[in-house]
Amino acid sequence: MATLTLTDLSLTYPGGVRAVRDIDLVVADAEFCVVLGPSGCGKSSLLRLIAGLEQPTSGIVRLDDQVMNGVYPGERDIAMVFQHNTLYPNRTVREHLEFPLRARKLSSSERYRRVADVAAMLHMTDLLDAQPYQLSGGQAQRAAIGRALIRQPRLFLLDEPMTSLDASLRFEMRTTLKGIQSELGVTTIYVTHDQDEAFTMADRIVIMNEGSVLQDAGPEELYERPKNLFVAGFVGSPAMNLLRGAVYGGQVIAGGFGLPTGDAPVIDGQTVVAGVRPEDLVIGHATSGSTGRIVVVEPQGDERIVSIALNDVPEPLIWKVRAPKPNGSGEYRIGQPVAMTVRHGCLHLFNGATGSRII
Amino acid sequence: MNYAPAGRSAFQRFIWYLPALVITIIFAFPLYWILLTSVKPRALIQDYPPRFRFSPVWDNYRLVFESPYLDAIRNSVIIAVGSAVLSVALATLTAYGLSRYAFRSKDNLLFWILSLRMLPAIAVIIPYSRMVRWVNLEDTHLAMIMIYAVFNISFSVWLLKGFFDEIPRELEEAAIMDGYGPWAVFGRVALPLVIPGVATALVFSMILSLNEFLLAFVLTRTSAVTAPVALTNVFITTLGVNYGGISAAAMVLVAPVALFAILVRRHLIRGMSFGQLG
Repeated sequence: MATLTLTDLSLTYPGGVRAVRDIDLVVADAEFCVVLGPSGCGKSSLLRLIAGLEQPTSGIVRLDDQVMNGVYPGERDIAMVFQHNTLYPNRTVREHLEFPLRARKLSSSERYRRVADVAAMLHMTDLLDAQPYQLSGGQAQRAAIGRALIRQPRLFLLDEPMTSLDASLRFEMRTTLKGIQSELGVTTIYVTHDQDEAFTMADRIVIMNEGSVLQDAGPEELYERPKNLFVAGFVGSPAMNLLRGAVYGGQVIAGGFGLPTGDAPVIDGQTVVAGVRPEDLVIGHATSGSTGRIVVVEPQGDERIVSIALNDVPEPLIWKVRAPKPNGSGEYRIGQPVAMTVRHGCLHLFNGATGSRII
Repeated sequence: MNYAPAGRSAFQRFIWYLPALVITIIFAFPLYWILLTSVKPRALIQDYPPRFRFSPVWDNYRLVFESPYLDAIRNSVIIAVGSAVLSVALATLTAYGLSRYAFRSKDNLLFWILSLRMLPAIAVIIPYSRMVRWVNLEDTHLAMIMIYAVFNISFSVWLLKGFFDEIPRELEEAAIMDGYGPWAVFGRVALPLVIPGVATALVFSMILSLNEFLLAFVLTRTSAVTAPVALTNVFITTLGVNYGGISAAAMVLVAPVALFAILVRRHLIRGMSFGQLG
């Protein structure tokens, strides 16, 4: 249990790839922090730096007040779960759980007690004598998580631990993992490219791209106030509609819309990008609205994802709407013309040149 | 693992196995011939066409077990086991280092190790005999163990490096995070996973040492004489070549290797396919 502080942390690989660039981050005690980003964004490298498996090119890693640079990974008291199965083919589950305890030379009675506790917590008591080849993917990953948690580490790192699991198992594992984490109160950093995992488990989400942190916020703030165009486009499914345009006469003119800028600090002629979440579009003939034609309708249970082609805009506008009543009348049809506007107060506005948020 | 098409007719299966059968016969026939010659009555050995039916006699084996050849076999086994253990132990550490750590001129070092194997024994025989004399190890087991270890280490390094390369790095990193130091990671994680490779390297090193003639012929005289050298001393005399005796002696020499190979055959099959199976 500890607070992790990263100061100005950078990692450049020998080939010249700058995997991590000047990252400052504080993860508070007992916090569940998710690092979210597309593959290759440097999130795994960041985790390896914290673990000590890579040495930073510059910057400082601190655990509480203790500088960790140069400390051997095994002496940092940090546990890690890897993306791929790291169980040893020649050892049983019990031997895996005991493995980190043996490194600390714990007595056999203490080992026995802790194995029993962790196995009960992960519902693996019946599997203690199983060999890795006898385990399913989910059981193997539970064993790996147990192996990491059994020594009650100060910091718990997970590197995309659910990539190899199927969808229903992921859902179950998310609940299990979040439950265990809050019960033990262990500071956790979880790396993933999966937004669902991030939003369901995180106390705080750190968005990374190209080695840098683009936003570091709670899940709600991240969704409601993305700091820049990358975060706006990356977070949310379907993604936010981004319409490039310009300010003219107190309105944003983009994609046929004429959206009032309100009190946003913009000037006439400035290029901006208007961001509208698919669920913030509403049907209606308003002066601020635009018209288009439906090109695709994707039924998703009680919702419809509707693509609308606008005049003069290459990308279709994505509209997320509740499904019509089951009697079939009012279903959306391809080719149907629609007039829409943006729900009041739901406009995101970004600087067209820098990509940073205006309002 | 059985790749033969299951559920086909006996004839189809026979066709499938035919090439393997032919190759086996070609390789096994000389061994069979030697076994036959070792128990043939002396008068029949040089008969042509050769005879395959006769009542076996054991005189040749009696001769082998009463001659100084047994001492030579003992020497051979001591030297083969000693040099195999020494070279494989060193090779395991070397291969692990080459597989896991990056350092300058690594490729050159790897090639240099391989080039040891390209060295013909005859080229170094005189320097070796001088060196052995300087350190007062002429005609000793220790000298032969060290020289064979040098000759065999390159094969073992290359074989074992292949095995270590196949172990995912994350398996070792997980152990590091668990609190184990570099030596414990090697001993508890990496080494147990390359046991098939170690067994293969041991068997090959032993076979190479047991068969070696030239170096042993020059560098040993009496107390460390190995079996291939003794074969010529004991059975090729001014009275002629004793084919029956040589054959019996060869069979006795094959026994220890065959025994070890059978003991570790499970690992050996995996080892020789470079870990591709199971």
